[in-house]
Amino acid sequence: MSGEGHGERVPGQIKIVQEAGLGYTLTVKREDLFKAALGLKEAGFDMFMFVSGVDYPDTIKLRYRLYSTKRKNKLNIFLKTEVPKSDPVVDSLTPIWPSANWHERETYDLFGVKFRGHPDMRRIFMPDDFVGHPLRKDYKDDHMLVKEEFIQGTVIKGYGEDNSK
Amino acid sequence: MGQEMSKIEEAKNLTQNQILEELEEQLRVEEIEEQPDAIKTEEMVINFGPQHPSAHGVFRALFHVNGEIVTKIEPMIGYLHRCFEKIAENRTYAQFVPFTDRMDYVSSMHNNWAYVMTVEKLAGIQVPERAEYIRVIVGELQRIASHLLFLSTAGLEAGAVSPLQYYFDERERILNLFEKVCGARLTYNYIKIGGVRADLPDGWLEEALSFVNRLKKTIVDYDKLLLGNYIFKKRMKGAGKISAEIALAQGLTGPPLRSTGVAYDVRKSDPYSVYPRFDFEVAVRFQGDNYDRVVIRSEEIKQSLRIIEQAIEQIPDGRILPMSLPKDIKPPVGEAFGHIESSRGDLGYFIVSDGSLKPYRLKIQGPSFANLQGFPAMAEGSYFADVVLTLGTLDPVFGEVDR
Repeated sequence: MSGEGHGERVPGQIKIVQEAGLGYTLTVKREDLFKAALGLKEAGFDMFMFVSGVDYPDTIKLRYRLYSTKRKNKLNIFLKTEVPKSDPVVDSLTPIWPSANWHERETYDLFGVKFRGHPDMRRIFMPDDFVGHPLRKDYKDDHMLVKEEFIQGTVIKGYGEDNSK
Repeated sequence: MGQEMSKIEEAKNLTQNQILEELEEQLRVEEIEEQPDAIKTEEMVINFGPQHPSAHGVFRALFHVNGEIVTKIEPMIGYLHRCFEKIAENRTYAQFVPFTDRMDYVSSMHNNWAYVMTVEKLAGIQVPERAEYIRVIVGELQRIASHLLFLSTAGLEAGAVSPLQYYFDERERILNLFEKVCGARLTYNYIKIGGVRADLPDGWLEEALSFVNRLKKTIVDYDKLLLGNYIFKKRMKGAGKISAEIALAQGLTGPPLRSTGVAYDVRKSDPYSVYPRFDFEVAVRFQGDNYDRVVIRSEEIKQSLRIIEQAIEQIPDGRILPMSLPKDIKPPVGEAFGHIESSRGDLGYFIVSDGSLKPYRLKIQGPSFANLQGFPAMAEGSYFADVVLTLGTLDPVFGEVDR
């Protein structure tokens, strides 16, 4: 086990910091993601819990939650990275943790982030012929029940009113 | 003349020999074909679901079957996708609580709890002690109710119909207790941000305690009835086996992971609420087969009963909501993750706040989703008749898989 307690051996001398809401986090550039993930796997993080996208105007931020059943401390860690919306491609972590498979497919389906090296990059929830990525903030759909003013108003107005007009 | 005759006879003999040899070869081939090992079977693809009574919801899979052996499974999900994560972005924090009920509808309390806990973490709300104890009591009762449903259906799939009557009788008692406390029997919307929606009615704790004492005795009989049944054991033991390494690699959590010998329980590894005050053990089994995945649920029921007993003993008087709870919850900008041990495993909510009344992003880490991903690794190579049993022992709830 590499350097338990004294900072982990990850490329670029990046430090693991503690955040209030998330616990231990590690922020890396997307080029370093695969290397960092390999280092974390070596450091004992044997479970891949989820990957989630967060849509911002220019970028999609990715949050990976990893968990260790082997380590004594720092059991939970969030691996953070971000991809630009113009080129939403990032290395797949499925070769390291096979359980990343469905989670990455979900992120591809709902956010349009492509995972390079994924064995089966298809949609998972939406039908294969679906157009668009629904969890992006700019996603528009004729069937959406939520009206524009409903989304933008800070106070929930129109709640309980007739939405059919 | 004589020479020619001998030549002709030679040729005759040769052809006769050839015919004999050919015949021998044909016979040899026929002999081989009669041996059962050499029966050539073709791979067949069988569609399962999405509407199938054994699928525990809307689940579709393609089973590649060679003879009786399942060689490959291609699961397909998404038939119950209701965009809850998108809906959450258009509701206030309090408005989303009823939606969490519809996530894992067999253990709604846990979904309420995990979501509310994450919002409290994000907004820095302190929960009164009495509310925490009430959450533990209803949460553990919910775990028992969910596991009772699991045990009855696991028996039903293997052909044991009578245990269902007993397990459902006990589950009914828990649902009656829930009905008294919040008015609903399946989708409770009981745990709210800051505490719980209503205090316990008079005499409820005594009723719950008498139920605990009753189930403590009866669960022993039910164990004999289902888990001790010879046919059930024969059917379940050794089928759908998975090792701890593969289980971790496939991301299993909850009872399926603990049945392989990995003692990962959020209540112990990342204690939340008032769980550190209770004396209980994490149920662990080591075989990782179908039978262990059933037995471990029965053992967890017994541990939950222990927790409820202690909680009823320790529960203090006091408020069920904090003194100053803002009407509109407006957490500061930031990210938070909270997770609890639900009936199915590690259930987590990841919320990003932009300082407004609504979550900027809400992600649900559903244990059924992770467990179902390990299903092919478990069932491939087993008999076709065991596949549905293996799927059943994972106890997936598709409201949570598809969200």
